[in-house]
Amino acid sequence: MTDQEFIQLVRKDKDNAFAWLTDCYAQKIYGSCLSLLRNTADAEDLVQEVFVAIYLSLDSFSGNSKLSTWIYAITQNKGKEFLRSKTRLKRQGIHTSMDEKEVGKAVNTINFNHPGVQLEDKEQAKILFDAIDGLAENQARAYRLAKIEGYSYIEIGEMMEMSVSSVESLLFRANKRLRELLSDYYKENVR
Amino acid sequence: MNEEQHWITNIEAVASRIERPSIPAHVLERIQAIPSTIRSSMDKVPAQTIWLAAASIAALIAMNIYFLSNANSVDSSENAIGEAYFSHVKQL
Repeated sequence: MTDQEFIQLVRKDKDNAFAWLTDCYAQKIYGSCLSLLRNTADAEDLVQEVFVAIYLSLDSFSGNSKLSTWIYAITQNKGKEFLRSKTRLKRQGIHTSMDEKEVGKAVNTINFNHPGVQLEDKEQAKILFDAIDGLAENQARAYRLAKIEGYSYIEIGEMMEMSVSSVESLLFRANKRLRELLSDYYKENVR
Repeated sequence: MNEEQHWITNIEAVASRIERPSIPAHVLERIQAIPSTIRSSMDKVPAQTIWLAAASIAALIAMNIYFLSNANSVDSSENAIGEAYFSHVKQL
């Protein structure tokens, strides 16, 4: 179904459009929530929040951006909100503002429980995810989408609204920075 | 490849071994039920309550406009007195 056909379906039968969206995107959004939060229970809560937000704003999708971009943006925003509320709870109700880098750090307050990570890889995976949190926000997003969630460069370009060559250079910088961060970790904790 | 580079490569390789787990069936069911859940929760709010809330908001806005317009007129009269006083002082 094209984006325009989807808009027409929303106008005609919103619930049917939502059902189609659920079939196509539930698995992908759950994967994104998991790679962002690394905790099954939190990812289950977040994926439901994302779909509630999608349902409530279905009428506002005008096709200016691609459907996948729109859905990805909602997922990212809801993910950030979720992390903010988590951190607020951890800080016992003290309200503090968070910039983009702090959102990444906030994940550390969540228990690592990613069902896709094998038991023998758990420690290494935690080190990897912590290093990903140290990347710039755009680099971390692109890295998660490419390496953890397995999207192609074309799909990442569509979701992040950038060209394939931009995605390639973003991932090149992300890989380079990630190796630097892992090297720092090695010098401080392993050697 | 030295020991550090080998360790980094091992950590990076974990990403390719992470599986993509399926969404649990109970979560999928809850997502599919979102339209009916939202509709039923909207039906639960009586129309009277909605009108009462709307009237309260309208009253609040009207009060704000009233007090703001009064505050502006007080400000302008205070400014006029201030200007008259300072021009008198300058003349002296």
